[in-house]
Amino acid sequence: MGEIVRVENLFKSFGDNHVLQGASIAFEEGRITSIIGQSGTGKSVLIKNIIGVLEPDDGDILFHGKSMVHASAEERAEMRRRFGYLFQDSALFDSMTVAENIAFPLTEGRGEKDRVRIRDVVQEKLDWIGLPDVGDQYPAELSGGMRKRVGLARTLAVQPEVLLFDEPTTGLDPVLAETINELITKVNQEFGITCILITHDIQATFRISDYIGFLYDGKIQAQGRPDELSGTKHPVLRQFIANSFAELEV
Amino acid sequence: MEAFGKQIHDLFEGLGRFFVFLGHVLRNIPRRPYRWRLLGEQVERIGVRSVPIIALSSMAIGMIFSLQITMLMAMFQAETIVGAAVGLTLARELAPVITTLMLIAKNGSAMTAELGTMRVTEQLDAMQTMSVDPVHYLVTPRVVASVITFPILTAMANVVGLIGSYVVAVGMLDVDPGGFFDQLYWFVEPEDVYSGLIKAAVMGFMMAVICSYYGFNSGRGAKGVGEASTRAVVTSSVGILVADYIMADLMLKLLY
Repeated sequence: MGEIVRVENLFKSFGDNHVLQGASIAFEEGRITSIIGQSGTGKSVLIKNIIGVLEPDDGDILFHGKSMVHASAEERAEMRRRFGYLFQDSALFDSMTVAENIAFPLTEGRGEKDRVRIRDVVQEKLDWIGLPDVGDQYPAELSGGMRKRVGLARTLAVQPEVLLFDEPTTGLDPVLAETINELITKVNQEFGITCILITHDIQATFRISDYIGFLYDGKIQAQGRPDELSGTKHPVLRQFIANSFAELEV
Repeated sequence: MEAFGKQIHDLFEGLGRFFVFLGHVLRNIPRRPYRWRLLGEQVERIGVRSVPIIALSSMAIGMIFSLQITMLMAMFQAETIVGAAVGLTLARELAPVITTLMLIAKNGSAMTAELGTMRVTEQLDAMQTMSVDPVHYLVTPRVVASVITFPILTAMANVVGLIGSYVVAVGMLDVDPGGFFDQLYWFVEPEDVYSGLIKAAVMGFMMAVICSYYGFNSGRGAKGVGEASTRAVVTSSVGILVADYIMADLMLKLLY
């Protein structure tokens, strides 16, 4: 399988805060790739640039070899339709029911009008996430873990090629976090979707990822397979990994 | 000096951002798909649900104005002029301005708070990731609904205000009913009514764009949304008063 997304020398600043300073990494098709790093290092900024919520100051993002940064608005919208994004707090539309949330990318993003098909897709996704009976409920009536799963169902409704996860397990208890990690693996294996995660949950990352990039000081400082990175010589990453696994042993 | 320079820089940066937003809204109005259901919802929310408050406030304005004018005109034994005085001021100025100010308080602040909350909880970003333009989906129906409903509510305010004026002048202060309508008929021209309705449409557009802009650029957290709502109400209220003066001046030169 080839490369599906490539980030090339990306720069992004907010005033005097230079968050990304030449970050580069390639994402292979059909793999789970994680970007790890401490809080506040710009992991969210990196994937928000990939999905197009933020515009980079410099550098490029290629999708199937085609620049997303220099594409026209229409081309970019077309490319973006092939991406899904699971927000850290799910970002469900609170004035809509769960079913309407899942149907939204189909009806408004793709212009789907066939009500029977929409209803079938919504129910299929609800069954898939293991919450078949919550369609009529509002997001406020659901727990954090349920909202995460509904968010995932919403992104899957349009069968994206690439799915980006922003801190998917943050704020969840270990059991729920594990459920979400299992769902990510399932999404990748069952549908062949390329998954890009940003997280500081190092233990889970090393378990479920095929490839890992370490973001520090605005750049990807180290990258490789989990077994390669576990023996890294990069001092900060070594410390970062050691601290995370030390917590587990305690 | 440096702080003053920063304030000027921030002011122009804010203005620049607002005009970019305005351009985005204007480009989106004719763009497909037309979301009739969302437009209907907004017409119901901004228009239909505002009927009681607009009726109440315009009735009160008509009654108070009638009371004051009748008392004043009684000194010159010209009480019947009250119909024309109230009709004219309502049609040209009071109905559009009072209607807009009431709607800013009722709907403008709610608009900013709703969109601001969506910004803070990343719902606007979520929409964007699904290739749905949040300006097209959320702002366009609000702007179009405001342009439609503000003149209708203003027309209603004209009628209800006149009823209030009639009740006080004729019912309570014994003004001759024939004289009341006679003066109204002779002094109030269709242009007076049209000019008020045009003003209302412009003010509706201004309110919806300004309040949506502040919602889209709301700061973080509940405090940020609260501050955005306050700024939206103040800016749109001052903005429509300035626009009202400019439009009144233009209309007096062009229509009369």
